[in-house]
Amino acid sequence: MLDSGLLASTAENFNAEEFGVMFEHILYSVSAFTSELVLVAFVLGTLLLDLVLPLRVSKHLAWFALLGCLVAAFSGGHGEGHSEQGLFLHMLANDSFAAFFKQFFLFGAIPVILLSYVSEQFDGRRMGEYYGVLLAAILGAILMASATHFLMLFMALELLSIASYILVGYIRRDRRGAEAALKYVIYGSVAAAIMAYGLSLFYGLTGSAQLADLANVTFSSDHAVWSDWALKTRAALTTLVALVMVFMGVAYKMSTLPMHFWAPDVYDGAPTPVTAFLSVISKAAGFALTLRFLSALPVENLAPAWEKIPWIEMMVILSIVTMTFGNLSALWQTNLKRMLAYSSIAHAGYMMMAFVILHSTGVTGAQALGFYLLTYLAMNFGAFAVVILIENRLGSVDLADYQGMGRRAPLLCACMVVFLFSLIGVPPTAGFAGKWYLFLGVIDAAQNNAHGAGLSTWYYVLVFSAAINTGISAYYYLNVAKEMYLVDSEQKESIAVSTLGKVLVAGLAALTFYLFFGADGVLQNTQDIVFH
Amino acid sequence: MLTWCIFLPLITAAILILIPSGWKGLIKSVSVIGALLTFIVSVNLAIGYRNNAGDIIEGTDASTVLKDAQETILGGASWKNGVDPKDADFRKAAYPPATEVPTDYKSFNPEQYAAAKEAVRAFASSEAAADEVEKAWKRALELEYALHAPATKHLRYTELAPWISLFNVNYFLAVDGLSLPLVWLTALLSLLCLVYSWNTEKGTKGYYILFLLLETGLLGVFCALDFFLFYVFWEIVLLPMYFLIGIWGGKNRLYAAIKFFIYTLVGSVVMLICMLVLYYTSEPNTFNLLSLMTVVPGGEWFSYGLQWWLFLGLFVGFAIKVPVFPFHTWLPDAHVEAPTAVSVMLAGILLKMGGYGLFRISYTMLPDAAASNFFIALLAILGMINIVYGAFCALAQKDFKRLVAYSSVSHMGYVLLGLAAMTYYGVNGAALQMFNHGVSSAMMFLLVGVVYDRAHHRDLTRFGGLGLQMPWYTGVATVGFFASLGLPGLNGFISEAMCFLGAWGGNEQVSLVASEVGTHGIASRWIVVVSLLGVILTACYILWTIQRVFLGQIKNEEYKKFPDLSFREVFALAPLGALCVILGVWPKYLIDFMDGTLTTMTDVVRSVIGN
Repeated sequence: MLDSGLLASTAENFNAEEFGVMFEHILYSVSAFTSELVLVAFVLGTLLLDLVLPLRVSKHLAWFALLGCLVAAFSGGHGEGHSEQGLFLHMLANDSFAAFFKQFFLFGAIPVILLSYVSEQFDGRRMGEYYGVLLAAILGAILMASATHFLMLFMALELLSIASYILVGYIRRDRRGAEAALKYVIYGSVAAAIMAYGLSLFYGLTGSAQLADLANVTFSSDHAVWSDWALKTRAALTTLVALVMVFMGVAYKMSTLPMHFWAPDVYDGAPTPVTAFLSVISKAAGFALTLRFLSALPVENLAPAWEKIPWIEMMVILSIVTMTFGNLSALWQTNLKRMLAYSSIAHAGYMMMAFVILHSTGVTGAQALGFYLLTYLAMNFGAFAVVILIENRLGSVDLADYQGMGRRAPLLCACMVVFLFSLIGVPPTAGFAGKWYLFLGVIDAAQNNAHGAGLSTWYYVLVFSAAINTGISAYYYLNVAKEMYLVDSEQKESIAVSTLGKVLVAGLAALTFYLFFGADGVLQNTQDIVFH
Repeated sequence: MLTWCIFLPLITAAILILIPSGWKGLIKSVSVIGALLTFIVSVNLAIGYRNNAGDIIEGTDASTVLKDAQETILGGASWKNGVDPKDADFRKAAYPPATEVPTDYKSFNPEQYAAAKEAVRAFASSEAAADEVEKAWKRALELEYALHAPATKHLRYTELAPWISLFNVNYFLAVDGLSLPLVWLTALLSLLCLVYSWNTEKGTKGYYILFLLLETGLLGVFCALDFFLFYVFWEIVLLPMYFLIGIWGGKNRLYAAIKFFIYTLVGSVVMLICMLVLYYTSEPNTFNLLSLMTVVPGGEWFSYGLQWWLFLGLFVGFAIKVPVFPFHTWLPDAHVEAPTAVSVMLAGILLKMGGYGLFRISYTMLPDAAASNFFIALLAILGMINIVYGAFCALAQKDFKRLVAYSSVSHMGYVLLGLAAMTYYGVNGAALQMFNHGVSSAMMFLLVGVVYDRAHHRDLTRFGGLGLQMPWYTGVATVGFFASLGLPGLNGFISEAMCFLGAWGGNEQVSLVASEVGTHGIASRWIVVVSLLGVILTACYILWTIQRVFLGQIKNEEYKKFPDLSFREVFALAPLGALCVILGVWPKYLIDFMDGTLTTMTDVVRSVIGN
């Protein structure tokens, strides 16, 4: 609910005291908003520098953008007190969930920038704009994770989306890239439109554009002709339609079913660093937003309209369908980028498990998702880093060209094996720790009846499906390992890799191990991730 | 010491990474030295354990270590003045059942738990410290459970350190009479295999690194007493095995490697779910295998229905590894394609992981389900099918290695049968059979490898008359084959006989397979009778194989050029042959080793019959 007291204090009846309160609130908000402001400054700075600097230097603006991320990450004003009104009058949340994702996106941007820097796909292009737009996309992702107002939420989503469209089509003469960008724009606009419609329905139902008011879906009950049952059903049905529509919009960002169909084509056509960005950062932003949205949904003291909506069961089904679809489709891929696209759909399915344990008393959805995304960041960026470095030399992402790669690029392939096993979820790698934590949360919820006794079976079915899916996924991940090591090839000459590329890949592999062996410390930190 | 034993191979592998791949001699020498050191440590462990069978070895037995850890944890919390965690009054309040005689946590129920929790919170120095005190008490209570586990008194060389404190995951290692022989066998076979693989030319460095990694994983599985740690080691085994089969294997290696991997992965993920359910059902939540042993049996925390499902889930995980019919199909493929040394590890140790899991986890932690009619019948019948079906399959094989692989399926059936009987004879026999099979099947695979290296095929119909050409080889082979056949005087006979005796049962101790209590007549002594058929079938295929390979005329002129055993091969085969004879003549040495541990386990399971 917009604070009516503060809104009223406009020109007509100016009240100095209220103005003072508001002014303080704005000052507080700005102080907590410093990282975003720094990021905006670096977006503009990158774009301006690009105009001034000669073409051959523009590539190195990557370091400037990287500096921007670091400065923004360390200038965060979070943690100094907590405002009841969030930031800017309930526009943004100022909670540890937002803070976690802010850091996640800012540090997650660093591998993307480095991947773009080592990739040779962009050679000959002016790169200042690229990094500027990339930083803008990061800003959009950060705002998505903290938005608590429908308008803010939608604008943040669009900021990320539009920036992503540009990134996908960044190589202008590449026809596949252009096609991918076009597809992405068209599908994306439709998804956004559906979501906007859903949000408007919620605004109509609750009379407020605040996420916090979602629970208060109200219907007038003064129709004499409507029976009580019919009223309730009507209310539930409208709410359900609104919920589904909003979910369609965010599902597009998360690339979960039923809005996943763009992913393989766009992932395949986009420049590979951008694919990596889409599969990790953009997806994570979608998940953060959805989790915040769902956390506003009530579980207890239900308004009549919510009573009849089994959204947890719906999420269980969607999660199972998404992971199974992703894994089964990935089995037949011969193009590594397409395979990783389907794998990212499957992982989105695993991550959706976090939704159903949202209000759990043990491991909460926010904690499990936060940790899983960290592990996913390490292993997925790692896998893409290897793909990019090999693509630099071969110009191909076909699995068939990876035959005998183990001898041609020993370090890259050894690290790739680490990433693949992590993606499967085998210890001692990050992927196992992440999956273990998710499973732990769901089983905890099942044992302690977190969301009502009737759901235990659903939870067990969910965990069991995820377990079977792990088995399925092993096939196609190992297929890559098989081509690299188990199959011999005529080609023997080794793949030259820059030192930066080697450091990047080795660093991500080390991170993949660290998130397993050092899980204790990292998990302790994720304990603080909560919504306010 | 256990940490050294487990991680010496890994350290050696790390050293190998630094050596340029061209220096093959150095790589081989370093890895053999690493394996040798590991073996020496394992011998040391065995001797130390043996000499102190009944006594406490200076501070490394489980109860001392657990008590120390308990004191450290409780000492760190802030108590009210006058409260001493070592005090009898404190113990009475904090762990009520511990004060009763006999100490029994089975009756410890949620109400008592809540009361004890309140009592302990009241001991805190302040309101603020109560949460922290409660946390410490929960960990201490968990260790108290572990102290009262029957299996604890046999554990030695304990190491306990916190790992993931948030979920109470510990780095907890110890060995007892069940695991120590397997640890020793792992170290022995790894050493022999590394020497045997001396002539590996393709990717030598990678081969030795992966092999040593495999050894670390296997040793870890047998030493870990924390379920999480156990699972991690269990899975670590997969990675090197996949590549060892996939890179150095035969023609159809890609198929075999992926089949092996996916089968075991699915099994272990199901096991993971069971592990998490166990964690959340126990109170306080724990991954400690010893604590779980104490909380579960008949206690109020675990309903029988839950135990049943958990047993089933864990059984699937272990059965795939054993492998139990109908999950056995990965085994022949993996064996046939794997290089000789890897087959040896696969048959010798990897299959034992499944059996070990049944002993250590399923039976000790879920005895109510284990002693239920359904699972006794299931295990006994599956054991019988394994024995007979495996033997029939072996009879039908023309491929030498596939024959040996199916003989493994058959021999692992004895383990199930002995275990299902739950008599002292049966359980000891089953554990002994695991060890003996580790020795004799390892030997058989090495023997197949020797002849394959010379003939480059394994077609039984094309061999013949090798006995004349390679007398030494034939002599050693006869020992191995007859051990596998179960000839009295060699090791196989003892364990098989014990399994059958146990399953048949006696007057003093009724076999669960044979009794009305156990199976309501679904399964009874006819299972033992049918299984005995397996012995005859085994004799058939073994004798027939000997006949086809060693006897008769030399079928091919080329065979006349075959040299007899080289030093490398003798080195690998001789210790195993000697073990076959020693354990056949004097099995008491090993049985004494295992008896205490297994008797305790049997008593636990038998104590719940009739509940």
